[in-house]
Amino acid sequence: MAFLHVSRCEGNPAKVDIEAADPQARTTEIVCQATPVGAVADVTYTVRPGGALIESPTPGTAIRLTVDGNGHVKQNVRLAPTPDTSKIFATIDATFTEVPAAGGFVPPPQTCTAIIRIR
Amino acid sequence: MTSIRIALIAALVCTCATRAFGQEMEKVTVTLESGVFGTRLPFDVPILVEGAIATTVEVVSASYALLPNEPEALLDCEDTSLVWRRGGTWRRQQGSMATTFQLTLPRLQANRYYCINFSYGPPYRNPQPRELAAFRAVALTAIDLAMRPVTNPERFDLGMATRLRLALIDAIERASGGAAVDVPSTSIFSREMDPARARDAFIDGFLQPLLSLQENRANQIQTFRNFLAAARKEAGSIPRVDYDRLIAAAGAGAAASSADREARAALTSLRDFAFGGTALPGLEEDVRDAVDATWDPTAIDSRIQRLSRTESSLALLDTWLAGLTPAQLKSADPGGGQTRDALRKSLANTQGLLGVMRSALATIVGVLSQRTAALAKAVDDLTLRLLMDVRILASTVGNFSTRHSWYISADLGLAYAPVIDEIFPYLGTNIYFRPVNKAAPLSSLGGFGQTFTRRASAMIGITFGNSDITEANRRAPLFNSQYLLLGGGFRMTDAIRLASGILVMKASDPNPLVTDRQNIEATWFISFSFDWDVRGTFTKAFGFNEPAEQPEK
Repeated sequence: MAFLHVSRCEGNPAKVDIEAADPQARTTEIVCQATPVGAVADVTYTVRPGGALIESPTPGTAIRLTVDGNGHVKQNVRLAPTPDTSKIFATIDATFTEVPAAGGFVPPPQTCTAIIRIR
Repeated sequence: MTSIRIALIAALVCTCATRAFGQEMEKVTVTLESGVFGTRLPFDVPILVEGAIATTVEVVSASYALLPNEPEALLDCEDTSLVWRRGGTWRRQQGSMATTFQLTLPRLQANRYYCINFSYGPPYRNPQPRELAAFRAVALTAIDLAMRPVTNPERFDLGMATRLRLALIDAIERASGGAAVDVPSTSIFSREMDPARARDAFIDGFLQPLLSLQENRANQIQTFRNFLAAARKEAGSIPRVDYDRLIAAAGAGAAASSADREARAALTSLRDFAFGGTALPGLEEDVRDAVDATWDPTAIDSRIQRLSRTESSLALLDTWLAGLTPAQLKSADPGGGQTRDALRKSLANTQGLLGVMRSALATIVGVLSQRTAALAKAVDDLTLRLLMDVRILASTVGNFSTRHSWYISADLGLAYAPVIDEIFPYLGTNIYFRPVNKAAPLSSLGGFGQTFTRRASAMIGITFGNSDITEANRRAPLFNSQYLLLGGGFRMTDAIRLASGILVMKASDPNPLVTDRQNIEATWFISFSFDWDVRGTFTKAFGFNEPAEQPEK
């Protein structure tokens, strides 16, 4: 039995402009590397306090995602516009809870972090 | 006649199409002492930068930044908001006495201003090569130790950045025999540098990859711990008494096989692990502290191998359990079948959890190796900051005479006008709607859609030679002996263009009684043409003599 393992997450782009009015400039695609292909997980994205807030996906809402054929789990995350850029990073934690087959064993959740430079 | 000319066109197309343009670099020269380029920078092609250096110089490194494209932009290369990208680096080969360096810059955009920064040395600002080597060793340790406790980027605060910076300044000064380092106040090696800017410079220039890797390591350690706890809980879901019964069954009778003995050992280890022990291979040590404390990938590697042995041992146990006979099960316990099934299910889950733990450890090994490389790169980059810097404002903006050549090109073609059934040669001028560098192969600039504006042009041309178009009392040249062509063209390859448009001529009045009146009329044509710069191919292909080219000065 192979459970989901998330090994690394990063933002693409790794730098976003949270002062921008343009939602695109505040959006980064969080790309996580995971195994095995086809594993399904409920994923929540949270940003650590200070400097930036997540606008989308709705904070606290889990999104059901699947590990694709390239071993990636991808999700666009948009930060809320804010003029407070006292922090220089948005540290986005992606928490994965594996969705087992019916009646199956649920392994512990895993957290993976993408460090995004903000300006 | 027409068919002969069509064959001629085909021959020319084949001749020119087989002579593909290679990917070229355009060379520009730079004088580091005066900080100037010999020419404007080319665009759309990679650039080979060449300059003179003293034989003492060991390394030259270039970076570049695109300046804002605004009419009121100050074109300031000291602007701190510029985004610098790395260009090429030249390093002296051992024993070489070269007095020139060459390095590359990637393709630049047309009509833009750039700042190009060259860092070179020795001479360094102050330290000499041997001192710099001493600094590298100290800096590597200083950064390594300073970053180890930083499990998340928030912890790398102003105080920590300042302490690290001062430690590095001390290190370079010690390496230089106590002499102050000769750097501007904006350098991270300056004690006067603003702390907030220093922190940003540290992170942007050197430490962000390290921070990401350390965050990743911390995540994997947490995953390892969580899954270890889950594996223990899962193994503990089987009552201790059931383990004991199966252990007894595995050791029952004098005829116990080696598989029985291995199963007995595995069951004993699993039972002890489930109820607080760490007897499973790979889990013997106090795992939490061991993983946390080590920064040595080989120590974690050996733990992975021991964990793999545990997984193999549990797999053998599962096979043994599956092969238990009803008699063996009954001897273990009246409800032995159910116990066996429950244990096998628990075993499968435990194996899955151990698999993730092993993957987490393998990820940590990878992270630590990458961290070592990132540390070395950070120190390399820091050392480059001690080299001499020359920052040059340069542009891909040409003067009028160079700019017009980016928009206008000449070509030589054969056109066919179906209505009058004539083929005729012409000289054309193509007018592009954006700057085009013909030295840049179209194929290197993207697909058809991406290169559309580099292919399309307006065309104006005139026929030449003994044209068969003219017919007495029917068609006459627009000028002395030439007809005018107007139209549009499209580069199919670097050198071949397909065009269409109208051929403008004087036409006699169809009424034979009217001989003194001519109208301006037009008929459509299509054409193939070849860039004027490939005319050498024509002359060679058809045995014409062309004057020898003068060597470039």
